[in-house]
Amino acid sequence: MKILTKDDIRFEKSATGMLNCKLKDGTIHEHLHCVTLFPLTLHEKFISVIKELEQEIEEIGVIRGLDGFDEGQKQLVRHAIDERYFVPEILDIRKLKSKRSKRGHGFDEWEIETDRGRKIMYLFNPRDNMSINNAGVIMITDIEKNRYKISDLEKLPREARTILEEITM
Amino acid sequence: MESMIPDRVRDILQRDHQDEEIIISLSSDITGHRNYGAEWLVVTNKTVLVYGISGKGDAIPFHDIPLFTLKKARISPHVGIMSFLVEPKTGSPFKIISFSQVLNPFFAHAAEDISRLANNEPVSDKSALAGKVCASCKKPIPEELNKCPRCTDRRGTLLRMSHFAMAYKGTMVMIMLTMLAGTGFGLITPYMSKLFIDVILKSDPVTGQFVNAHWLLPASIFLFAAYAIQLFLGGIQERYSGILGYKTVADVRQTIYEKLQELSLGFFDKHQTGALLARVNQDTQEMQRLLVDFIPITVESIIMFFGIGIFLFILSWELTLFVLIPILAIVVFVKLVIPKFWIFMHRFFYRRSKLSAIVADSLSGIRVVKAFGQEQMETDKFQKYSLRYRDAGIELAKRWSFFHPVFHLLIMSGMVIVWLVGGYLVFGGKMTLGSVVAYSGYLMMFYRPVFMLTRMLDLITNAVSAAERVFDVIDTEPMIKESPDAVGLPDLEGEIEFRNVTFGYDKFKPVIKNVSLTIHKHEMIGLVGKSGAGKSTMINIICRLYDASSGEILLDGVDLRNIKQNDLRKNIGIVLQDTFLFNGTIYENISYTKPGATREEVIRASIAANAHEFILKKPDGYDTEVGERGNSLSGGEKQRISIARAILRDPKILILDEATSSVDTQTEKKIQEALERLTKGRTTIAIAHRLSTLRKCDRLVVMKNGEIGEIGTHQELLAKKGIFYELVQIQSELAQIMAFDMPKQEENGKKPKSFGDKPGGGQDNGDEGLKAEY
Repeated sequence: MKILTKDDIRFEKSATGMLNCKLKDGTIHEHLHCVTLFPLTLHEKFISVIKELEQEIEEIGVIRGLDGFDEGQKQLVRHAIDERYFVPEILDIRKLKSKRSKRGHGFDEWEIETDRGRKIMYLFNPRDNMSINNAGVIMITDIEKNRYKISDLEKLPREARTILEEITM
Repeated sequence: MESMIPDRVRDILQRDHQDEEIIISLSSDITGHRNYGAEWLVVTNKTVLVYGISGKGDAIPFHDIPLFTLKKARISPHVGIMSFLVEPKTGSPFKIISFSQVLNPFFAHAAEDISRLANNEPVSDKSALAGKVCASCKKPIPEELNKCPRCTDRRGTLLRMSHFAMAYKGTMVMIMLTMLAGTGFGLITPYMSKLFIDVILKSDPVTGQFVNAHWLLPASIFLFAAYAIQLFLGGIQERYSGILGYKTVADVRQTIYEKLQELSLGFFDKHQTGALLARVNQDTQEMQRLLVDFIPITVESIIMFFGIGIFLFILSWELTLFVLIPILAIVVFVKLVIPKFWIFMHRFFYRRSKLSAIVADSLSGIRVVKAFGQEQMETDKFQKYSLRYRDAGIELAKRWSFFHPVFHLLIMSGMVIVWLVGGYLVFGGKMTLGSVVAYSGYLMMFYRPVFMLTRMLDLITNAVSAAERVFDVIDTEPMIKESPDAVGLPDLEGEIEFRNVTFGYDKFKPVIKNVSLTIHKHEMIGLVGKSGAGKSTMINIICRLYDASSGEILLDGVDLRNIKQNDLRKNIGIVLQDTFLFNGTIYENISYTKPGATREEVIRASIAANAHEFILKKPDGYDTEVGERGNSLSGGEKQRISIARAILRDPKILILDEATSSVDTQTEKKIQEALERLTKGRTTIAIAHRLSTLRKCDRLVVMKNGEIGEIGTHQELLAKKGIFYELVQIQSELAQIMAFDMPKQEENGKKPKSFGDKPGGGQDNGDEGLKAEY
C-alpha cells in the first residue's frame, strides 16, 4: 500500500471537471476517482485514489486522512468521493404513510429530509431493509435501490427517533 | 425518463439550437452538486446538451457538445449514483450528468443512442423502455420488480387468490354452511340462560310453586345439544378450511416452483436464493394462513358481530348504549395501543432470530474460531446479543404487565356496566334478571368479533403482501423462451458458429463484444484469458442459459434460438470446476444426467471417468450417500463423478470449465486421462487457468476484454509473443515462486510443483522447449 500524504500529491480539476493529480516525483495522473475504503465506519479516512482502466483499477495510493490538506484540496477529494458514493444522511422523517389499505401498495412511503434535500422513499418491509452495523450506523435501502444512512440516531428529532427505534432495535 | 423539458430550458434551447431536431430529452434526479433535484439531458441531431436550473430559477446550460466530436457515451455505475460519461474522439471521457439507479435503463438507452448518433447510425428502438414506466403513475419501475409497486391493486390479488380456491367450490360451500349453522347454535346458548332464569327457575309470586319445572330436563338437554352441535359443526368447518387451505396453497406452491424451474438464469442472478426460498415456503405459508384462518374467522366475526349486536339490542337497547362506551374504548385500545405492543413483540422475535444466527455462524465456523483462538471474542459477541435478547424479553414482559390488565379491565368494565345499569333497569321493571344474565353472556361473545375485526385488516394486509410476492414470481416471463417453430436436432454434428455476438448480463454493459468464431465439429478449443475476459460468458451463451443481445450463434447452421431447448441441452455436457452434487447416492448423482440409465451404463461411465476405483473403496460402493452438496467426497472425487455424468450423457458438445483445477497432481492425472477419453469424437470447449493443461487443444482462443484477442495453436501463439505469450510468462513466474516455496517436495522425491509437471506437461509429447518456458 502506497500511503500518500499532503506533500506527496496535489489534486487539480481538469477543464471537463474530472480529477487529475500530480505526484511528488512529477508524474501526472488523469481522470482519477477517490474511494473511501470504510465508507460506513470511517468518515474521510483511508481514501484510495484510483484510476479506472478498461477492465482493471490502478491504485495510485491511499490517503490516511484529510487533516493537513488545504481547504481547496479537501473540497476536490470530497467532491470526488461524492461522485461515487451517494448515500444521503437522513436528518428527519417528515411523514410516514403506511400504504396498507384500500387500493395498492404493500409498502411504506417515507418523506425524509436528508443532507441532500427532501426525498420520498419507498420501503417494502422496513425491518428487512434497514440494518444497523456494529458502529451503530443505520443503513436503509429503498425499493429503488437507493441507499441512505443515519450515522447517529441520537441526533434525530425525537419523533423520528422513536419511529426508527421501533423498527431497528 | 423521457420527459417534458421545462419552458425555461426550452426557451434557451430554441434560442441556441433553433434548427436542430430534439431526439432525446431526459430529466435526472440528482444534480451536479449531488443534491436531489433535476437536470436535463437533451440530445439533438447535432448536439449533446445538459441544462440545470439556477437558484433564481433560470435555466443554465452546463454542457454543449457537438455530436461529431464524440466517440461514444456510457454509464459508470457507483453506489446510489450513476455517472453519464461522454468520450470525446480525442481526450479522456468526462461526466456530464448524474442520476440514481432507477433511471438507469433510460440513460443507458440514451448512451447507446448517443454512441450511434456520433457514428452516424440510426437511433435504437425505444419500445423496450415502454415497460419501464408505470402506465398509471408515470414513475419509473424499479428494475427488479415487474410491476409498479405504487400501483398494485390489492383487491386484484385477493381475487386471484380466490381463483386458486375456486377449484374447490364444494369445500367452500361446506365451510360457509357449517359456519352459518354453527354460529346460529352459538347464538342460542346465552338466550337459554334467560329462559332458565325468567321462565323455568321462576316461582309463581303468589303460590311460590315452580310451574315450569317440567321444562328443566328438556331445556338442559336442548342446551347440551346446542353446545354439542356448535362444537361439532366448528370441528367440521376447521376440517374443511384446513383441506381448502392446504390444497389451494399446494397448488400455488406447485405453480411457483414450476415457474422457478422455467425461469432463465438471468432471473436468479437478480434474486437471492434465500429470498426465493422464502417465497416458496414462508409466503405460501402466509397465504395458507389467510385462507385457513383469517378469512373464515373474518366471515364468522362479521356474522357474529351482527347476530349478537341484534340480540343485544333486542334484550335492551338502553343497556346497549351504555355498553358501547367500553366497547369503543376497546376498539381504540386495539387499534392504537396494541400495535405499540406488537413492536416489542417483533423486536423480541427479531433479536431472538439474530441470536440464533450468531450461534449458527460461530458454530459452523468453529474451526476458524479455534484455529485463531478467538473463543473469547465469540463468547463476548454472543453475550452482547444474548443480553439484547434478554432485555427485549424483559421489556416485553413489562409492557405485557401493563397492557394485559388494562385490556381485561376494559372488558370487565363492560360487565360491571351490565350489572350496574342492568340492575337499575331490573329495579325499574324494564328488564328481567334473565335478560341481564343473557345480556352478559352475549357481551362476552361480542368482544371476540370486535377484537378480530379490528385486528383483521392488518393481518389480511400482511398475507396479501405475501401473496403479491408469490404472484410476482408467477407473473415473470422467462427471458429465454422456446420459439414456437423451434426445430429438433436429434443428430447433431457439433459445429458451433458465433456471428457478431454481443452480450452483457446487464444489457448495457457488454461482456462479449462482437465476437465471430467458428468451432468445427470434433474440434477441441481452449478458451484462454484473464478472469473477467468473458470465457465463462461464452459458455453460458452457447448453453443458451442467456440469449445474446445481438448477433447469432449457430449450431450446425441453425440459430440456437430456433432449436428445441430440450434437444440443445441433451447435446451439451458440462464438467465444472465446482461440481454440484445433489443429496443422494453416488449412483443417483451420476445417473442424474440420464434418468433411467442402467446400473451397468453407470458403472461403465464411472470406469471411463476413472471414478470406479475410488467408488470401489467406499464401503457402500455406488450406494454411498454423498452428503449435503457432496460434502463427504473430495474435490477430485466430485470432479470425476461430474465427468462420469458427462460420459453417461454422451453429448456431442462438451464443455470443460476449469475441470482440472484445485486437485493434486496425482488426481489431476487421473482426471486428465478420463477427459481425454471423454473428448474423443466431440466438439470440446475447455477453459483452464493453468495454460499447460490446454496443450492438447486444436486451437486456443485468447479472450481479452470480451473480444477475441488471438486465435491459433499453442505453438503459433507462443511464437507470436502476444497476449497468450504474456499470460504464459506470468504463470511461469508464478510457477517458479511456487517451486521455490516447495523444496521439500523435491527432497521427498517428488517433482517440484510447476506448470511443467501438470498433466499436459507430465505427459508431454517431447515439447521440451515449451516445458522449459513454463
